[in-house]
Amino acid sequence: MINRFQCLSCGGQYFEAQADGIPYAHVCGPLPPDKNGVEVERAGKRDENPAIAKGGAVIGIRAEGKGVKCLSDAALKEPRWIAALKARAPKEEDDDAA
Amino acid sequence: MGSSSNYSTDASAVSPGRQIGLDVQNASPPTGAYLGVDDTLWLMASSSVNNVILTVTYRLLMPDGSIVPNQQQVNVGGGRSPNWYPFTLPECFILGLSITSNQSASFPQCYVTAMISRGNPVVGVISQVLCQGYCYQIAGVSWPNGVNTTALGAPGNIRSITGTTPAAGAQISESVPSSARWRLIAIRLTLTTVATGPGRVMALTFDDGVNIFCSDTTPLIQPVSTAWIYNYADGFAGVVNTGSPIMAQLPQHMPLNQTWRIRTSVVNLDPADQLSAPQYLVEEWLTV
Repeated sequence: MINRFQCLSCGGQYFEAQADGIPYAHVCGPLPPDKNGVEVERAGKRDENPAIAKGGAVIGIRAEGKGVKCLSDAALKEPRWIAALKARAPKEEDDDAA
Repeated sequence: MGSSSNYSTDASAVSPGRQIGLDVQNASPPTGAYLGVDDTLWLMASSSVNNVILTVTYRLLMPDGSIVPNQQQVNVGGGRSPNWYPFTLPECFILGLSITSNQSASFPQCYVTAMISRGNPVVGVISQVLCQGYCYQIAGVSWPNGVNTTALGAPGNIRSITGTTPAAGAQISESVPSSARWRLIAIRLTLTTVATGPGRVMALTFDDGVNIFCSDTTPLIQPVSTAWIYNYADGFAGVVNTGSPIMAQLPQHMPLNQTWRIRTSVVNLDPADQLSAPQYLVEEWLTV
């Protein structure tokens, strides 16, 4: 089952993955233009693209924003692929040990 | 490794039914892939889909002349970012190496590179790239015989993507994922207008994350209290239908780098209007 989420930063709704099995990375769009027609990025925007440390390791997503709410399974705190990505990320203590 | 190196190899073993004899004693190893004690064989894999199983098979010529076959598997996570896998081996020559995956050839979703490096290739010294390309179940990549391709030098993955449905009154915004490049082929979306305000005008904009480099405005006014479906494709010749569904033109061959965006810029969008069901058809490459 592919779960549906709502972004608490922008209110957008999206599925955590596509029918081809590829995870979907939600990114908040900019705010509507002001009276002068200038668009600005949303403060606290969510960006689910992977964040990569200097050594090349994935350490999470780029920006959590205000978080998400799962509309199809209240037990889920975030898309499952993001939870798996965070579980694979090297822990801070690993760096200390190295 | 110089002309003074002597290698007695398994290739000189006499088989009972042999008809051709080879004198391979003291011959130079038939390969240029020398792995010193400070070198490591590295595999880089970038995948858009989770749980890709890569099978790495290789044969090593050891200093004592024996030939050692080996096979290892790695499970690659999605997210398109490069994953690095070290294979620590003794001093040897690599005679051959192949990489296959559990992916169908219809879906170029996993790109691999095998290389010899001193230290992590991200910060170390890559001394030799052995092979690279999109990796499939049967058609893998191999060294020394094989075709190397760059990640952008092969047909991309054709994908149908359901985008984010924005909140009421907000525009659609879709970002190209990191480590990906898209060629936009078609878009379909719906605009439902409420009973107030002037007519709406649908427009698409394309930006590089900051600056708009292309706008595509539909020369139609959508009345209040209507739900119009807009179909954009790069084969359509302008607006060829009025009323819903609308067929409108996209710029042909629109390449979009990572973090670049496809957005709507509906004129006179009311705070209660709803844009919904954005569906994209794209060709996707990994950019590693």
